[in-house]
Amino acid sequence: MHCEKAEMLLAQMIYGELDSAGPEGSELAVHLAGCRACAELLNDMRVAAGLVREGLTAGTAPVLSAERQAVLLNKAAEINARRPPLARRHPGALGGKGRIVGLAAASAAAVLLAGVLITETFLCTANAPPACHDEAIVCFEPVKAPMAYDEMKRRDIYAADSTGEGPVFGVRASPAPTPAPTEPAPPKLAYEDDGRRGGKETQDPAFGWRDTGSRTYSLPATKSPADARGRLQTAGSATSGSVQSQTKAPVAGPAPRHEPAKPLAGNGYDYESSTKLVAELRKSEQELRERVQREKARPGKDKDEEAFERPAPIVVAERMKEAGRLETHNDIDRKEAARNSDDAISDIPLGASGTVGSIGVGGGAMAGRALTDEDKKKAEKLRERERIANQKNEAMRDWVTGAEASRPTSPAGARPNDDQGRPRQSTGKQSIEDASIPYSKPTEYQAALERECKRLTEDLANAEYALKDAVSHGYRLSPVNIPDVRTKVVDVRSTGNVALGAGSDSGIKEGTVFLIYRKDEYIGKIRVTTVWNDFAGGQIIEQRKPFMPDDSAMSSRGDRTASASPTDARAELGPLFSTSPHAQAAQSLVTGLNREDSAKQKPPTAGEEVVAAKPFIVLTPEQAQALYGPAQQGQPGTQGRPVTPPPPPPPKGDSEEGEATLAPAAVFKAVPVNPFVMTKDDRFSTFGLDVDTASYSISRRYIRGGYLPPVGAVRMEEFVNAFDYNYPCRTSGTFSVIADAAPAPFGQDLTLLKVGIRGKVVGREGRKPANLVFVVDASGSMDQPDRMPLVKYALGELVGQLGAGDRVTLVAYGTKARLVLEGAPASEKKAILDAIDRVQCEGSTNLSEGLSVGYRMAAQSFVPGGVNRVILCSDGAANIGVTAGESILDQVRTFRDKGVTCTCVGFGAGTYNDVLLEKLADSGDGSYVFVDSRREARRVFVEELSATLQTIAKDAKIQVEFDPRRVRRYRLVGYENRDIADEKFRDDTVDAGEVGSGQSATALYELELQGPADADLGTVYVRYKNVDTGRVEEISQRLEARSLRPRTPESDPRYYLAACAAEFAELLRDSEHAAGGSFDALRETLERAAAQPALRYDPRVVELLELVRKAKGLPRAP
Amino acid sequence: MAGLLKLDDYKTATRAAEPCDLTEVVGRFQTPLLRYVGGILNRDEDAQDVVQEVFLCYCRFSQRGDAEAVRNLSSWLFSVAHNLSQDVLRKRQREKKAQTELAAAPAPAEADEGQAVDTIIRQAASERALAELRKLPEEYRQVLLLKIVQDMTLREIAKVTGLSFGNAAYRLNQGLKELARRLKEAGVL
Repeated sequence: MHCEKAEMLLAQMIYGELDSAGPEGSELAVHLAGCRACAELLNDMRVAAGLVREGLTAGTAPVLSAERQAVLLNKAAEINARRPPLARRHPGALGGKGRIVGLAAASAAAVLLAGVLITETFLCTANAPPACHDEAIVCFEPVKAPMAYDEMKRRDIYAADSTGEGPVFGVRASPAPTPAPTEPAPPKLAYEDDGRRGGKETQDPAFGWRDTGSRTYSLPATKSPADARGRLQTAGSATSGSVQSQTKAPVAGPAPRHEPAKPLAGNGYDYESSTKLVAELRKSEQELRERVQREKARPGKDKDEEAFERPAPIVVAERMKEAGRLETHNDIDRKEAARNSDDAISDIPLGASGTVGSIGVGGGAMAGRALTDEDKKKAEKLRERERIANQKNEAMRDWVTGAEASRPTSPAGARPNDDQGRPRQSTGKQSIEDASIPYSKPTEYQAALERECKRLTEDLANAEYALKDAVSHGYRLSPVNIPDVRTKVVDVRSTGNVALGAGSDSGIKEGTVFLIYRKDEYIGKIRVTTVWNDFAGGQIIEQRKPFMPDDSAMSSRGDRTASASPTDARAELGPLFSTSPHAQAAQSLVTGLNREDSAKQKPPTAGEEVVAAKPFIVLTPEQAQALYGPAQQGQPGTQGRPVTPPPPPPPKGDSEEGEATLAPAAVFKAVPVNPFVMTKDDRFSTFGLDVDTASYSISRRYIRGGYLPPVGAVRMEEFVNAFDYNYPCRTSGTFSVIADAAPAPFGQDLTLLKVGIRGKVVGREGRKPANLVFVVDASGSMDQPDRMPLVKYALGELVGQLGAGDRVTLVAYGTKARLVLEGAPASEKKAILDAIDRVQCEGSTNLSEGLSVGYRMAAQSFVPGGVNRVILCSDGAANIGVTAGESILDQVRTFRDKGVTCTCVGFGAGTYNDVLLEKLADSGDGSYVFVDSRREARRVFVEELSATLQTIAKDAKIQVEFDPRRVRRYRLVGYENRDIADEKFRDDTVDAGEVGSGQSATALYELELQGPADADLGTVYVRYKNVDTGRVEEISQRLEARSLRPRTPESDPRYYLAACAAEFAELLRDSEHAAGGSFDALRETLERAAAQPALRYDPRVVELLELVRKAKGLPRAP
Repeated sequence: MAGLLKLDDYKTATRAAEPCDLTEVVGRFQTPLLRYVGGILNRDEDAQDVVQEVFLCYCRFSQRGDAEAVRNLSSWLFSVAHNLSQDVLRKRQREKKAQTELAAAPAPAEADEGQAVDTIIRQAASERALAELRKLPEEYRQVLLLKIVQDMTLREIAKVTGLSFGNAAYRLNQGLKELARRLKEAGVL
């Protein structure tokens, strides 16, 4: 194949559309391996495609304009005239803040437009592809009888840019509109508030349901039109996308792009900042309350004037301060803090739009602060916004309450007359003195205060709830979690069927169990049987009281029995990544119980790696009190909130768990770092190759969660191997060896030798038929958002990659192992995916039985000459059946000798058993990967599938022989647990590392040199069993003197990348060899290397840099 | 799902006219469609017009009961969008209106040293890439956009655009290659 032809295929290759079985695919692979130009072009094209994709999905997602939506709505209504109203959900714009505001559509008579729903894009998890975060959800209120478009036009709805801040959807103010006498009450609260806050509408009872996804709840019919007006405002600004322009944070900044939308409750991700937030909120709430009391006590006559002359309300100051403090306090999670501060800043002036906000600024000025230009501008802007909002709201009210004709004329004085005689358009030239025109709305200030109070109370309650949640579910603190789904009962039928207001987008799956609460009382349980787009239908499993519409429903993890009274409340305690008092309380409870347990069990013998503990504990009332705080004691925050569900209900079947012999805490084992070896004593360094990268993924997870990984979790070679050093790959030999050396970037007077070994590439087409047996851990511990759903996703992705000749078997194990799917051809994708989806989590973890069944199945459908592999997907905890590591390993080894290999895919953290999984993969001649995100799942199962499945060499060992004349002493970085005795190098029975297609391994040595500069350093030997021929081969390469030369991050970025990765790992594991190093020095070097074009667009390098920046100053994970 | 559900009453109530569920269709497809058409036409109002028309077409279709014929909704919608935007382009040409080329994107902002590799750079690069994409010849652009926005396979793209498979593949390749070349010239790659 020549270049021109190859170039025609590159795009297909990039997008995975190249016919893998066809001759073109293999020819292209061969060509690419040999042709540098084409390989480069491929890379360029790949990067370009990635960049364009990012460019396209960056920023706000375009949506149809409001008018056009109205037209379409109208059309839809025409078509569906006889259909009952449905809530609809729309991807829309407004990614920036993660708040979503809904557009309300019309109802026939009085309340034409009503109801805004604020929801959270909780579906977005931290690791979802960025595009996901750009999608917001806009809800359509039931379309009862949508207004004709003409009618809307007649009523003068327009999308106009009246503020210069972007289009605003609203209604033109008519000159002298007056309220209809039927209107319940003059607006007590400034209704523009809701809209201006850009979705921070906490008054709405629906807000309490912050996790409901995009459920819509129609407002009660009694809702005053005032509310409706406020909402309409919201709807308008939301649709036209001007919310962003009203918030202070520039949406264009990089931060919101990769920032997952987090609900307020999501502050629970970061325990400390949540605690902080709660404290701050409490404080300002208290002050507000006092203020409100004081205000109420004053004589009412000239309250508003006085209000104006007050010093800046504490609200603003307090919230600002809080924002600032949060920012400085927590520079680990700067983004989040920034978000909080955004909230704070945008909430206040916008939230109270001209009430609290403008008073704040105006008042601040009068309190003696010198007026800066900025202040003036701010004040002007606020006043103007207020005015415009007022105009709109007036108009809106007229429009909402009915046509002008039907409205009896009443004295104009009956309505707030802010706008009388004022120009409708920009009044931006007004000076700050103008701002002192007294407020004409009598209770404006007080109302604002009350509103603020109420909002703070809500925030407080939410934050507190998040905290409690965080304590009771340790996993809450990890960033990949999705919150519980919370929704409402919509309808109940006599047949025992219940409809929940939730749809497929909410993450609800069939089989999800919902606990139903009325107020705080548990009244029953539903299992979801059907999910439609707008409803989830379920059947009653348990019912203590008849269900009613509007009862709240909360998804439960697994099927558990709820407890009605808190006295026998139990809590499930995950790993608690925190040292806060709450966590400590919880921890001490666990340890206390452990002591009880261990009294019954035999004491652990020496050398056992596990600690006995029960993952589930029973709380006494006092303990529950200690853990959950005085929630039941009428705390201000919890009053009036829709639901504070009682502590998580106890798990069923914990009697089985009672036999647990494995710790809930993660198991890692630290191996001492390799020491320096004097060459004259031992000039051979021998170790088994290791191409795994799990350690890096695990550490990444920890660091992103705000902790340094446990020392045992850091295997330095896996850090180094996690990156691509672009070694040339050969098509002739199985391995190529590449050595570079230079003065060590991080060690003094040392030389760092980098030995890269790259296996040949076997394309997809060259892959042998595979007989894959998935052994999926379906125990209770896997029933967390970062586990089972990820497993299912990963398997789904993998199945999509398999060819027609491959077969898939699925075994799931909980308390018992069960065969879910037997030997299905990979072409039956649907059947396989359905089977994967059917797997439910329950019970304990009987790993040994699962593996036995898996191996039996693998042996049954053995494909001679093909890939026969058991793929274990687990979080590693085995607690019943044979749990002793050795006997499981024996089984794995037996089958390995029969040709069935074992690949381990780790999921989840906390109860994670790193040791077991690594050993299993090691003994099973398979690879060991850790999947913490969808992206990682894609990388392992799609992009590097060949590497994962297609082994090219077994038992690969490396021996480096140093020349004692040249090298005084050496130290191997990493590979501690891969050590092989020197004399065993040519013993082919020794189990060593396996290398997949195209995989590379890198070994780093720190050397102290001596002697002549032109002498070679030594020789590298690689010995392995060629999988194709079954023969043992050995290759060798001299470490030539010329491979040693001075290098800089600019000249050899990849060399420095390897050095940085190793240094990072050494720092993370507190290696004594990194004693002089610091994260700062590392960061500087890495930044220089990463700025080079070769690395600039490598997402893994960007990620490493992020981790290095983050890691500084983090506490070690408990 | 099967067996357990006795919720047919809901089903009939909510899903009677399933295929004409316009709101849902709008919700699902407005953003990708707008991205695609916007990328083709380089003008927002035109894109809005076209996308609205696409949905109206869909309405008419489903009203006529042809909705069943709309097997692959995505392909169908994009085909319609493609055809309509081609119409617009043709009209523009007739009117001899110069197509509003986007002003050349500003060169990617020079990086602060401290954030050399940070997301900022990447963002600037991706913005630049987007700008370059918009300047590509139209025949490359449509194929690339369909691929990137909706992740269609070449076969689907061929169906939507009415090209042959080979032609679509050729255009995708050339487009991507050209894009890479331009980005390289611009110093982004």
